[in-house]
Amino acid sequence: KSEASVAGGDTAAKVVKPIIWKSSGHGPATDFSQMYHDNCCNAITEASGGRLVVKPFVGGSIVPAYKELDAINEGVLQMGYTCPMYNLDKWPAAGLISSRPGGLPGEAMRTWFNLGGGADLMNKMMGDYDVMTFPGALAPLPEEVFFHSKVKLESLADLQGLKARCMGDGGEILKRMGAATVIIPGSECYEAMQRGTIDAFEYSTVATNWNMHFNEVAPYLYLSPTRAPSDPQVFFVSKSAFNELPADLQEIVRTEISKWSQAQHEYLVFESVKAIDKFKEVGTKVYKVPKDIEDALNAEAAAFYEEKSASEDPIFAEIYQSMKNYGEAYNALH
Amino acid sequence: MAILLKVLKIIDWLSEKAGAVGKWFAFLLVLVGSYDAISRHFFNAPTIWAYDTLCISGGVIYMLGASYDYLHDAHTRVDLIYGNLSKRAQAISDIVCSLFLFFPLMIFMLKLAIRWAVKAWQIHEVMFTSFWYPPAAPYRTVFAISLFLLILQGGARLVRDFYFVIKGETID
Amino acid sequence: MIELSAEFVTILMLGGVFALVLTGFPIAFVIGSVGLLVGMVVFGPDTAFHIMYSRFYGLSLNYPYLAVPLFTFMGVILQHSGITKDLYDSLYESLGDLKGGLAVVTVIFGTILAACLGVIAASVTILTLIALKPMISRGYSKSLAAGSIVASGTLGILIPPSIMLVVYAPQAGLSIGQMFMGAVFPGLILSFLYIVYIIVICKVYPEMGPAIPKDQRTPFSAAKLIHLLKSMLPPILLIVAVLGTIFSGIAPPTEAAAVGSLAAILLAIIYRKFSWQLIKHASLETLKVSAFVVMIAALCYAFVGIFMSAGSGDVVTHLILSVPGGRWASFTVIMLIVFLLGMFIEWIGIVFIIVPIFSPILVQLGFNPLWAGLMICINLQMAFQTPPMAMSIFVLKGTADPELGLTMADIIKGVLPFIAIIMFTLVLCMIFPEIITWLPEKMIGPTH
Ligand code: NA
Ligand code: NA
Repeated sequence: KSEASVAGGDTAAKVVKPIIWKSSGHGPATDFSQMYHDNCCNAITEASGGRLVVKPFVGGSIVPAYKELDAINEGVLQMGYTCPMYNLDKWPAAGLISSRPGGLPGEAMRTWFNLGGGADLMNKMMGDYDVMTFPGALAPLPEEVFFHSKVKLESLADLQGLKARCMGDGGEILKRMGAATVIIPGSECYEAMQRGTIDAFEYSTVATNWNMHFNEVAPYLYLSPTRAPSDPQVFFVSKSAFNELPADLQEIVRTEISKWSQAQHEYLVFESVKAIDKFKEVGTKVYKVPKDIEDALNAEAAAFYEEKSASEDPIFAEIYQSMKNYGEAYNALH
Repeated sequence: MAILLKVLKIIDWLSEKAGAVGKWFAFLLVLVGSYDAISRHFFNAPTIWAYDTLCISGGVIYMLGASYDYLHDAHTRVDLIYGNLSKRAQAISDIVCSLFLFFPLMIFMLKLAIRWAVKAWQIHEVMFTSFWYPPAAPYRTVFAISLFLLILQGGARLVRDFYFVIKGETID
Repeated sequence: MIELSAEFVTILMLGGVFALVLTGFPIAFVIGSVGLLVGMVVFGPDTAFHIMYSRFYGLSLNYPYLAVPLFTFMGVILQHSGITKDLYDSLYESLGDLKGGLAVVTVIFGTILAACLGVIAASVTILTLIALKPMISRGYSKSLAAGSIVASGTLGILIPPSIMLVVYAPQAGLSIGQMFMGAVFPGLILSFLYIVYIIVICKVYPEMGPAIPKDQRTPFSAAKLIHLLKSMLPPILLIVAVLGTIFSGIAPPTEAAAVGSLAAILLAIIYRKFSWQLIKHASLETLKVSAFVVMIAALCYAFVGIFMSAGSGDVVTHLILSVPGGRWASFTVIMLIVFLLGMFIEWIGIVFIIVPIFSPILVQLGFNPLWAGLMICINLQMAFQTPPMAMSIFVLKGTADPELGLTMADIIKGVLPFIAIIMFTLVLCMIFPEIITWLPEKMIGPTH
């Protein structure tokens, strides 16, 4: 009897209270990156045998969507999955590791981040914030959508005065090239196209866009690796929460994040390939962007970022140069 | 008492002014929204500044309106029971409720609002919904000032309620 | 931090709000404080403060909410330009022979206003200012007068343009345009049933809505018709301005309210009612109304942040999915929860609480998302008219001339039959979902 109670006490001692993390995607619930974020959280919980429970939350449910990183820094969340671009309210350089003209395409982006010093530069950029990332935490979603358009783009001249909804640096650069860039929320794109408020727009990836029924409002789908060669999503983790973990749990977090980031990248490449077929099936004309537009965009983007490198904090130039050099070496390889 | 009354009047004046200044942002909404629509549709010249200007103007209206509404007792109440109470009972209820349901909430909000306003100036925080990138610090500051005015007005109302409960007449 | 079960937190938060709003303290602060308090207990103070502040701040910069100040501005200008009164007078002359005719006119007028205006306060305010006194002074039952104003004024939130649909659609991942289209027929059916009810009840109880005395009637004439048409012109122009702006693509829905306001100002100039004083007055009214509406919305949004992170969303989801009796039983429970929440919480708060919870469930249960979304929005109309938290009733009570002696009891008694009609319409839409889905599918495309 006494043995049994000893054994019982032993078991009770082994059942340590689980460490609880809260993690948020930038959602909505049906978004691919949100789904993979949720899978990753659950996988960590499972792999740790319940010692580290990571509770997944849909973007916007705890803090407003895109404010995940601030919430990690404040200790509200311990983990978050978001687009670096959503942090350019704090660091202009965050816009570089994003879907931007002249950025790195999928494979180049991922290898630069993991092996070419990208993750380190991002940590350097975030400075004394209680937030970190690490190699393997980035999924470069294939963002090859240049525009969904009502207008056929045959040459650079067709861009002049084109009412195009375009956010971020891409919007600014296209405006410098003569497009009439319109700023409206993504949720109003469908109607704005339908009623002629705008003639063209960019939004997410082809896979997501297929689910948004954009074929109903835009006869043309333009693809190009120039405006947004990839759309990186990054897992961010609280430095202090991570450092408090025992080494094996740290390893589990790294491994699972790396695994699900890569899995999401592959899944989305595959879905994008399928989505393009679906667009074609329903009669959407899928075209490549004319070469002269691509060249002009690359030139304008280079000028734009050189200007910014001169005026922003040194980290901006450092990240820009690192990506640029890597991109050139990567292109030489192909 | 005269000094107290004077302080109350100053707080009232501040709340009135908050409304008087804030109201122009409502008219600005109409002008900016129409300008953007007309300029985009008829002149093919959409603005990049209208979107953020509209959002910020909206925020200024709501925040500056907060203390103005408190002064004019325009924040919605469920007056099913409250409406049938005597003036004195209403004042007592408001005193108790504001001590528990107003001041703690708003003082914590103010504390964070100040912290973020300071931080916004320090890190040059910008708003990035558009690529206009307006600085966030001015709005964060208005946000904090508005909460401060709201708390002041809450204090003024508390003093008035106390006075009424004790003396049985209004201080004004 | 104290460990509380999610079930307990759910009861604590909803129960806390239900109980504390009855103190009569401004509901914005009640909701915010309950959120903060529970958040502090569950997550510790620092986390709770951050959630509350960041969500409060975030909502204050929300783009779709701009419709609140913009539509209010338009409503106030409209109200002071006198054009609405003209229309009411001439409609009355045309329908005065009918028992309950004035109440019928009120509903028709409310329906026209509903197609012009998208926020609740504006329609009810205008209807109260121009229709309440004529009805009561002509011997109408106070209840019928109040009920018809509240019910038809509330239609403004359903028939497009509508701030409720504008706020709801993006939350649920639905197209605003499809929701607008989907709301048209349910709105018109409600309007039609209100009229049928008024005619029938006044036939049975003529003292509730006496017809114009014979000696005061004027024969129908061409002049009368011209006057009617002339008075209908300005509101029609405004409808064209707002809906035309949206549908012709001049502006997306939120911005269209700005163009509508500009159109209202132009109408005021044409009617020689324009002055800088009017602009100042409208701007200040706009500030007053939108500040308290958005303050409630912002603190509700903060409250929901705590509610969701505490796992209460899962509790409600679990509750609904574990209802025996299949998908329709679950659906009925959802509708019931919306109705009950609607008695106590402002509609914006409800939308923020229920949409993230209910939308996935409804999809999971296999309901057409657009249909389900509109069923909830039709349901939410009742929230404006059910005490203790009944925005439309408050606006009526606040705007009504005290000399008319209208009591809360009169209003509630008058509103009840209209609530029953809304419930009946919900059942109609369950039996014939095409009432909702036909138009958006015809005009825009598949709804699922
Ligand atoms: Na409406
Ligand atoms: Na209600």
